[in-house]
Amino acid sequence: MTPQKPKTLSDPQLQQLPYKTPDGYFDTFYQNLSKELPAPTTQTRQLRSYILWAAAALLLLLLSLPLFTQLNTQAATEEYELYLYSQLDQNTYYELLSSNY
Amino acid sequence: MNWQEKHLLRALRHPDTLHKAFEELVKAHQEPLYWHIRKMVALHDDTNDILQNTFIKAWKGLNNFRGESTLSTWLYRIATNETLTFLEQKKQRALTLGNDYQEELLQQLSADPYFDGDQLQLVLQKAILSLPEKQRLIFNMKYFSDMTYEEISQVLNTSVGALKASYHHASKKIEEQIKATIL
Repeated sequence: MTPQKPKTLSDPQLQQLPYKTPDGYFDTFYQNLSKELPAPTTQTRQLRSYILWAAAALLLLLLSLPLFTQLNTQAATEEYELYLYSQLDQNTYYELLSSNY
Repeated sequence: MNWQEKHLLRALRHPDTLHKAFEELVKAHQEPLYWHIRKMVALHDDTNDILQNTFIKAWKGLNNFRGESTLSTWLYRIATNETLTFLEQKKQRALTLGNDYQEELLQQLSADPYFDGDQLQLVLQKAILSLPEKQRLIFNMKYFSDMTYEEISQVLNTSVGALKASYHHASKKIEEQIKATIL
């Protein structure tokens, strides 16, 4: 009986990986992975740009609100003045116009 | 990069075709990458986590891929970095608990339900796991995956000469360990 030859790395038996995977692992891998994937960067960027535009529009609206209020008040004052003038007789009206009041 | 890769890359860049193309990319590379990682970390559960992280990283970094290498090389690089980071974290964690990660891994391997080898293959795996990480990586890529030195060089960013020397040393160490265990 000849002594057993020591195994070397060139032995084809050793070149086989001794590992296995659970049944159907590769069939379900993408399905499981897709649940973990965050929103794609391109969509995120698009969403971010929409949010930025919305924020800018809101800021503009907020900044212009006092201006609108001021213009409205001014118009209401002028309208009231005209109403008062309309209630005066002609003499008093000219008297007021010529005075510095 | 061949025309199929170019076509896939174009689909990956377009929001309407992105999901489908990414699924195609995962299905084409999941198996080789799985085995690439598994050979390094040995256990299935750890491999699964790293593989998921690899594809999540690829998904997040798609816009940064400039096409300077093939998609396959790019994915291998991500998987390799993820694996090395994982091993480093495991080692550190074991160290803080006063344990040796290599020793823990060898014990887990013998009890792993997804280990399908005989005694001789267990000896070989143990010998491989005792190699330093970079050397183990090179040995696995050359011995089991039969990658060329040029391909390994692109993934690991190491010169062909250094790879050859590293593989030679790794083979010697492993053969010595196998002989010592068997005789």
